[in-house]
Amino acid sequence: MLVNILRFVRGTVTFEVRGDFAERFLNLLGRNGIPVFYTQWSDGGFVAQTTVKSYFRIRPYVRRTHVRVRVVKRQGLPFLMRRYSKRMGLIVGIALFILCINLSGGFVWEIQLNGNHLVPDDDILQTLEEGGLVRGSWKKSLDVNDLAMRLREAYPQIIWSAVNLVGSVAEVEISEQAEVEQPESTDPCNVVASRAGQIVRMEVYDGQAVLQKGDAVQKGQLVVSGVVKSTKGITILRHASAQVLVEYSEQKTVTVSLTQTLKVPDSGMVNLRYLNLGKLRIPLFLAGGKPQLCFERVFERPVRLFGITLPFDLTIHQVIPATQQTVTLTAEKAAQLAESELLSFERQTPERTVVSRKIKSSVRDNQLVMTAEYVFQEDAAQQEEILLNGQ
Amino acid sequence: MKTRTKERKGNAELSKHKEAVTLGNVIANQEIHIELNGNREALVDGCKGIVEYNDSTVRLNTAAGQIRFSGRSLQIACMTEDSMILRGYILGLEYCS
Repeated sequence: MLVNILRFVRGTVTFEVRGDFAERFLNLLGRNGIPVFYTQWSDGGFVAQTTVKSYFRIRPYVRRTHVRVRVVKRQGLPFLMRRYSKRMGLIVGIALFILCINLSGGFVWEIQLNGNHLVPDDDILQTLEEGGLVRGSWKKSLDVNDLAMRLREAYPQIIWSAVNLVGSVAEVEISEQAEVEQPESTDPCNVVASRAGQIVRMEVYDGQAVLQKGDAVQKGQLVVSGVVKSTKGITILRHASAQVLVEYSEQKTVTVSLTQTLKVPDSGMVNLRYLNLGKLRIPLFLAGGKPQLCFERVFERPVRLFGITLPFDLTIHQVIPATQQTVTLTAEKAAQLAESELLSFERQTPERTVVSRKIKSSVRDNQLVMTAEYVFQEDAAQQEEILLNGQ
Repeated sequence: MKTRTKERKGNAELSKHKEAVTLGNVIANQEIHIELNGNREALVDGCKGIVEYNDSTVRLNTAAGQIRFSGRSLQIACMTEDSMILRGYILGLEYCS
């Protein structure tokens, strides 16, 4: 194999020898250090190969042995170079291709995260990006020890990490500590109300209750005290804890205009593609852009070639042109919109539960006004540390 | 018993010397050294030149005379001043004169 490659690089000439003293000619070549290979007999002579340089040395032996030599074939790189010497584009293209192949090995093409369960991938990638590791980073510019250290410093859950550059892939190995439940604090504290309302239920786990069921409470008011007096009259500081369910009312008004200007999608969806090379963003379209009024979706797509992720990705802006239209809503439709808005308001705070809801709606000045009277129930217990000696 | 063991050792040493002398002759280019790989390839070391060459016969000149390879599709794969590699279907090897 190696010999064949060397012969290809040096170039070979296949020649045909005819004459009565063909064997003598071969002997002379051998004795004078002219390499001859792949010698095959043919009618009245033989065909053999030699290197390009050696071929120019055989002339004296041809004369001496009175044989006829004819070139049959020329093979190898010197002949190819000569043939394509006028096609500079081809040579430059091959040179550029080799250069690109060599250079591409110096970049990080893919980042693989292994072993993380507690810390999300996106957070780790963000930290790595701050350290300079992104897809398309120049490998020699990376300090893998620093990157691993950054991860350990940024996330206490990570007890060990390493960044290994294997070819063009950055393998980030992460070892996380097992989730350990933090022991509950036993520092002395009171329970105060986190919001105003009426206490409807109270369960005291530790401490001395100051208020009772049915009492009204203000925000920040003491509900359960951590300062407890024992039967012997000694003051003991406890870590008070309790569940204090309070009820409170709240009003929410939603106004929906019956005449609305809506953004309606128009025809002619356009995909605007950008090529991301590191921090460089190259638009892959010649003219035009997104219109002022439009719907837009942005998504990123990695570029793959034969299943291999390349060190750059594509950002696609899917733009749908839109027009503004004035629509007149019916009272029912407006009520539906208002109710959905109220529902989203209720879902805003999942800790509280709706005890009752009274809805009133009216149409005034081309507007639907919907007012909801809510009664919510919520655990308002909030622990507040007892500061000793003003600390 | 001991005498027999001594004799065996002596014979082994003698054969070693003989072998060394044989290889020495090959190295000194006084004798031909032929290696056959099955019937498809022969490496001939110490040949002095080609006397006859065609598709079915290759006759080589050596210090001790001539040798003839007979067969089919015989091809000289490589050749230098005193060695060559012969390929093809070798059917016979004959020492002439």
